[in-house]
Amino acid sequence: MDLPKPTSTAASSAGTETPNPHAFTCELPHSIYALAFSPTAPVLASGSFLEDLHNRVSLLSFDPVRPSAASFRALPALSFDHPYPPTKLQFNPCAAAPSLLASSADTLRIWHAPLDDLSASAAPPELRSVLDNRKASSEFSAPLTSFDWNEVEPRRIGTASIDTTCTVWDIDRGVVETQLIAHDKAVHDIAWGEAGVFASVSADGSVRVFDLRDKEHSTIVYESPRPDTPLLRLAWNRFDLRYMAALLMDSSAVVVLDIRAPGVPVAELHRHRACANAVAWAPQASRHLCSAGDDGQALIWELPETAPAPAPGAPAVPAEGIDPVLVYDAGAEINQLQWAAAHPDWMAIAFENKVQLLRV
Amino acid sequence: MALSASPVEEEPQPGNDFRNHLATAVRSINWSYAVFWSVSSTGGPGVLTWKDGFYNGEVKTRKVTNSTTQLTADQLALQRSEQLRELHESLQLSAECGGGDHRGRPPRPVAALSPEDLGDTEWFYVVCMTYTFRPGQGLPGKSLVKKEHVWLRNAHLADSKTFPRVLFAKTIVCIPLMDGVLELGTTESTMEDPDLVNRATTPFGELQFPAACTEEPNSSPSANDTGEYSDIIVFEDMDHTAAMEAMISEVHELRKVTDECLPHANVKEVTMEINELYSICEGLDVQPLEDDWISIDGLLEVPPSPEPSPEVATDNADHTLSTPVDRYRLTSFTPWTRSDTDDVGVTATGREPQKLLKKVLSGGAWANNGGGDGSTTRTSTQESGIKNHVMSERRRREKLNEMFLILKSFIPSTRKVDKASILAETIAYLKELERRVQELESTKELSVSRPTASVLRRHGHDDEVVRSRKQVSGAKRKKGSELDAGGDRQKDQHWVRSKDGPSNVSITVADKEVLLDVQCRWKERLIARVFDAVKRLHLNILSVQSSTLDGLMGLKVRAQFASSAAVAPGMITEALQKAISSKP
Repeated sequence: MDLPKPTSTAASSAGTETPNPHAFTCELPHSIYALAFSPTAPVLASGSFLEDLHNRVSLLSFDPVRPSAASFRALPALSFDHPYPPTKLQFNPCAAAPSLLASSADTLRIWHAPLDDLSASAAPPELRSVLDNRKASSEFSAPLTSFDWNEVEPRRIGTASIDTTCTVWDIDRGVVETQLIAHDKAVHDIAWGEAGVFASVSADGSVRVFDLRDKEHSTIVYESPRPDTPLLRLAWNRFDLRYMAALLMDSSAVVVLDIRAPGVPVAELHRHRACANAVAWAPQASRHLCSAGDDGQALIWELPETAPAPAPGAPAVPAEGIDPVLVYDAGAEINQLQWAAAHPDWMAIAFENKVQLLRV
Repeated sequence: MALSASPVEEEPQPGNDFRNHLATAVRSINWSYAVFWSVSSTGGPGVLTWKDGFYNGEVKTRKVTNSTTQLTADQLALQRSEQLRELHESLQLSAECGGGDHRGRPPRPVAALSPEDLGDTEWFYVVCMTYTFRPGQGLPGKSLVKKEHVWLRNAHLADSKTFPRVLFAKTIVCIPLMDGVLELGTTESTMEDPDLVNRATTPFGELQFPAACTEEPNSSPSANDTGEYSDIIVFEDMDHTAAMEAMISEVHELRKVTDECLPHANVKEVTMEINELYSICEGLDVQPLEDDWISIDGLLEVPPSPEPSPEVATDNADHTLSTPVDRYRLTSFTPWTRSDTDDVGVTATGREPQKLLKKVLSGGAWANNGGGDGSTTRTSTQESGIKNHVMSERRRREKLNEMFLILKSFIPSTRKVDKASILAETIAYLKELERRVQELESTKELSVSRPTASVLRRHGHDDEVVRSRKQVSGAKRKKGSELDAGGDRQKDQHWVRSKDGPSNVSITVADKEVLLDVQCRWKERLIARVFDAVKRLHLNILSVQSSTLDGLMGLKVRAQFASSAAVAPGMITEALQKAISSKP
């Protein structure tokens, strides 16, 4: 019997024509940036990013128990208009508290979003308050780059603004609790740790931790190696408050920090092939995080076990760097990544005008 | 349903020769496994079913048999492959037998291996045994149709159409051989190598197979040198077993469906099947399955221990996603490998990195002048507008800081440099300075008053006078002519006078004109008296200017001598003084 001629027919290995059966996609009419999972209902809020006054927040429902392409869809009845593009959306993380949705853009807005009725006859979320800190005489209000809702103290929301300040709001009373000049340049992201402790990253390249009991002083946990390289995103591990992750501008690295050892990162994750855009910690694990970037990949990492008090300067990671454990290829630059706290199996990514629900 | 188990059952003793060839083939290229798919009549025309295989990969546990014969490594490996096959058989049979109570069941064939002894790659190997391929379907199918080898690299990243078995093996090659397809796989990603293909197929060159034979290869059952299967482990019956079997059968169904459906890319059907499967899994409270896999997890939950513990199974089922590393779970993600950088993935070359993220953080979608049309040029100007604001804010701050420093330089002896201290010291210094100024001014008053007194005295005595005197500030007017006494007295008088109110008179004579300048505290009928005095002096009044300031009356009179006789200015002064000082 003749052996076959060794002509090569290498099959392509990166075909993305057939959709991954475990990724559910919802396509929306405009490009999406902000995403937020609700802690109570299986709802994902997505905010458009159009540079005008006609943006929209669409609520998408999904079925975590029996996921399917059909069950992941937009709820047009519950979608509402939003003037400026929301830079961040977040539901009230405290499940016991009334269901609210907050958005940051030119100011902080809070919406009532009961989410108990997801039918076509339900009423869309209505605006509860607009929290604006601009002075009466000034027309200009510094846009908010991000905000974070305090899980322990749900009446507290901290906002980050390009005017270098961070403002802590008491949203029940609708007043400013405090406003701190956090950095020398615009603040890009903010994250709460405990009830009165938050961290922020800025264009000045530093990660600073603030304690509301001692507003005069802040702790610099990390500074970008090349001075003044802006830090763009920050994620604080809610499950294990030791760890934070930060993203730098024009960098594919994900920097993991241990606040007990400031200055030296625990790890720098370098496996993205293009710049990283978003990072999120696993909601119920201390050493797992996911990052996504311009290479269209979402990578799940598992950090190695480190000694409780890592020796300063001694890296606890292998010399060649940590490899991610799992990868998902979206096929386009992923701009946003959110890991559902209520459904740890699920995470959502946004690229172009699509939102994808991924199962972990 | 047509399971690939059937042909295996008909052939209890697969040809060891053939397997040896497989072993040689796989070893020669040092890959993980070799599987031979043969075209079997049972499945349908041209359908490839698992015929034989050799597992050369990682072995998780080595089952020590009671065999007394010392087995070589080769033989051990062969034995392993056999054990895996047996395990598969036993699983198949238990699935076939269906549910029911276990008492009436015939004793089932036993396997030397139990499920938990297997590592991941071994499981894959076992799973492969269940597969069938239609012509053109899957890699083996394609290979058969094309009659040439098909190399798939990075199989784990392939979509399910090309390679329905999403699995571990990174590189797969399928070579049409004899009446079937030889598949070789490895856990490493390897470049295509025709030479490798040749090497792998060489061992099979000498085997003769009847071309039309669709039955099992005609190989002589050689001596059983793979060792005794004397170690017997009984599969314990489990309460879950029945359910597991149902699941397994469902998975087969599903797999067939997906195998059928995928070429037509009928996602809906697949979804439905998946949903059905999930509903079964829901009822069983176990992990949902990936459509292409046997419920590996499910089987792992059936420990063949003497004390079956359903709790173990439930525990496994409740195993949450705290470790998403569990690869067999239903997941969108695939295991990551370190592949070449120019392979796979979307590299954003030439495009602006983090474009949307930067837009978000610049706050550039809006500006002071409200929303824009969304054009990028507008965005950039808005962005620069924001930047300008930031810059101007910074300049303002810098200016303020500079001014603080300047302020600090004015203050004597401050060591502190912070803004609060600078301001406090400035306030103190200013207060101090004001106090000193007041002090100085008050003393200056006195010193100033003396010269004027002396001037006036002189004036009083000196009749020739062309002097226009500067008016001292309102609070410090003094009567001129009464300052005749010495200094102290002047002071007293000054004080006394200030109580009554200051007053002074000046006279200027030029030719025939006389200018009278009177300033004094206003009293009733003062002006009348002045005019009377002027008249008595035989002066004709030409013009009068009067003003009041703080109760002080100022009179400027221009008069003319009525007669040719000039009056001495001193007399005029005296008369006026009298007039204004006389009590009404």
